[in-house]
Amino acid sequence: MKEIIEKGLSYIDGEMGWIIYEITEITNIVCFGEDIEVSNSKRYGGNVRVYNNGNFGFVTFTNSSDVISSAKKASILAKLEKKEKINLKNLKVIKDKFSPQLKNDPRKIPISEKVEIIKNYNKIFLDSKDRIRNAIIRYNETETKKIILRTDGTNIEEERIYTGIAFSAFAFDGSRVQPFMKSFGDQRGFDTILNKEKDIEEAISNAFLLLKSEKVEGGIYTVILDPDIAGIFIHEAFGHLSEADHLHKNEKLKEIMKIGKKMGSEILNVVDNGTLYGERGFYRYDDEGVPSSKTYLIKNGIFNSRLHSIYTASSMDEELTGNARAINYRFSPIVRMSCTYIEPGEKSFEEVVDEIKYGLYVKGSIGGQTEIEMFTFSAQIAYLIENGKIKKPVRDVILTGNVFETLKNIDAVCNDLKIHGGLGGCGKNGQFPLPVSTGSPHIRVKNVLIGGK
Amino acid sequence: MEKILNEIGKRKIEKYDIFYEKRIKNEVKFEQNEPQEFIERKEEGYGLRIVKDGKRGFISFNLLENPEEIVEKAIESLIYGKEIEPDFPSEKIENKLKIFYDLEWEEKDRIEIGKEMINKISSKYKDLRVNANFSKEYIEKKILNSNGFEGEFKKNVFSYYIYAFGLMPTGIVFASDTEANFKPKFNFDKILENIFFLLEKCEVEEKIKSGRYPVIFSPTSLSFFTHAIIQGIDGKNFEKGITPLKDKKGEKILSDKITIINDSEREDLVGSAPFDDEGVKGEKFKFIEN
Repeated sequence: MKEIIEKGLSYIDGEMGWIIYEITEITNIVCFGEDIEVSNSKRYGGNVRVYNNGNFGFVTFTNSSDVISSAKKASILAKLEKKEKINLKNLKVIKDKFSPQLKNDPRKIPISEKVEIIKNYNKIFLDSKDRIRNAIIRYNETETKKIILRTDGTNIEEERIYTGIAFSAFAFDGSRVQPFMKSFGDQRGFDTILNKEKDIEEAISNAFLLLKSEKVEGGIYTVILDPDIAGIFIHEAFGHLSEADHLHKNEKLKEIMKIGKKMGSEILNVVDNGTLYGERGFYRYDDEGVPSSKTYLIKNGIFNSRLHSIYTASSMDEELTGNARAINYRFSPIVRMSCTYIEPGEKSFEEVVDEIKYGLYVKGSIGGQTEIEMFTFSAQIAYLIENGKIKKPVRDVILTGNVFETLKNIDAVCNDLKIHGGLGGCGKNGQFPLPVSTGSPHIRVKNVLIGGK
Repeated sequence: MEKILNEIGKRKIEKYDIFYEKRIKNEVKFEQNEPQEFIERKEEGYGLRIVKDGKRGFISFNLLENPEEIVEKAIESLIYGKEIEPDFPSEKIENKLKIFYDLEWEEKDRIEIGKEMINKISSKYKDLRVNANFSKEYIEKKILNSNGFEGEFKKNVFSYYIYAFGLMPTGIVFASDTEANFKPKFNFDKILENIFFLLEKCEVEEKIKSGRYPVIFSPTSLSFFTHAIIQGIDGKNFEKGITPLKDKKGEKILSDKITIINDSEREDLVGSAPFDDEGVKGEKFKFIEN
């Protein structure tokens, strides 16, 4: 099959061309209450992408025998328009094969064993009907084998195996449903989903606890964000702004996101790192065949680098970062993050709590949105902090603000970095979910606007 | 589908349905004021649901190279499948909906429209950049099941989105508009009017205090609300008791000014279809009335 795909390269007519072919197999096990469902899907497909005179032609195909006609069509599409030519950067030709070495490979474990593990987790939920109304468990295993070919001779085979589990407990008091969710997902193998009994118990307890909790009082707070929500914050609010595709031809926006500009205090270091082997956002090569890399977005509080595809890096004459990614063969790669996190600082969590007279400790995120510089996030659970002590839980905590002001208000970064993968991913330009990791240590932020009663 | 049916027949599976979908999407994409990418996305795929001894199994795939393996994997998933006795539809649905128009939207026309709209926005707002997408998507669906139901329909969906963003003296701003239609007929002057209306509002910064306000929601901004309501009336959530609307049928839950309708037979709305993905006939119903 690979020989057939390779034949397509010689039919590409353009300055640069790519062919990607992938085979993806997905196994899902879902428990919803007492119901259990197992499903499997297998998807084959590829695409041809051609660059010519500043434009791209992109054609997808399912059957490998269609690669030649797709190459011809993509070449025609790339010539539909002419515009100012951007010479693509000189690329390193790569020939490589990469397969992860997993300690406990999920593909070698019989489906019956996987179902048994999920059933045992589900029993904990079913035995907790005094506290929760129902629960959902979702196990997902996704294996992707990908071939990346480029007209300059690059020839890469990369394999990825994602394993993960997510569960939601729902407490109900007759009028209000209170969910609590937890998820785990990465590329370390089947061990990722084992020994989750304590986490399930935590989801049950927190759903029940929140049902009885009061709404938070709206206002301005000093807030400690836990690693989960701080990681989501830095990904959504700042990471997306670092993606070069929305500003590479916009001089005014470049001034706002100017390399060397002060974004936060000296304690703030933000990284995008696709080389973190085993994490959900890890990959050896991006979807243009460029190696993943570790990129400091913010170094000692100063904006240090943007994230790039070949096209945006060429357009801005900046270094390649290996961040052109697509959710699957049906989409052309766009600039995306990989594993994005705040690097650990020196303070302990206890020290940071101790310094707060009145504030909030906010844990986990259940969604939110960013619109350029403005963000809104909902927390899973929060606790009041009074005189350096963590007190009662409060619910419906919504954080709102301007990312640039908020970054400047980070006044403490703890030493307890945690990176999270989960089962979902990032969404951009209709491409969702892209596997990414987000992470942070606990951070403290002054003057955060909290919506509430 | 025939290859799969042969394998099903060999294994004496009495209840099944097979779903087939094909999509071909052509897009003209503009980025940062310029044409950037021309796309042809072709895809097709199948879903096979089988029921044996009261249990349900499911598999999806997009290549029919090995139908035997596909059916075997569906059978494997039966072991754990939910115990049900589904009543697959048998009613022959005569497709009376006029939702397919065999029309083209030439790429060169889309490029011209995009350039014209972007020029108009750029000439007034030089510091903004515009992303836009003009697409045509062909959608074809077929379903057949063991109760004798066979149905198929197709439609072309034409759509655009336009997104202007950048820096104004008031800060980073954006304005967008999107629409989909069975025909490539859009009132682009009206669309530009909407974009200009939004951008003019961005020229003056109005800071507001947090608090409680009477609010007017525009029709498109209400989607967050309808999404929450749809979660609340989801049949699965009802069955599992995790919707606050459980046991509330017939009770007043919203203002009596609110009526929410699901209508899959509107010939002017792109979500319409003669039947759903199980072959059940679409209809108009009010899930919240007064």
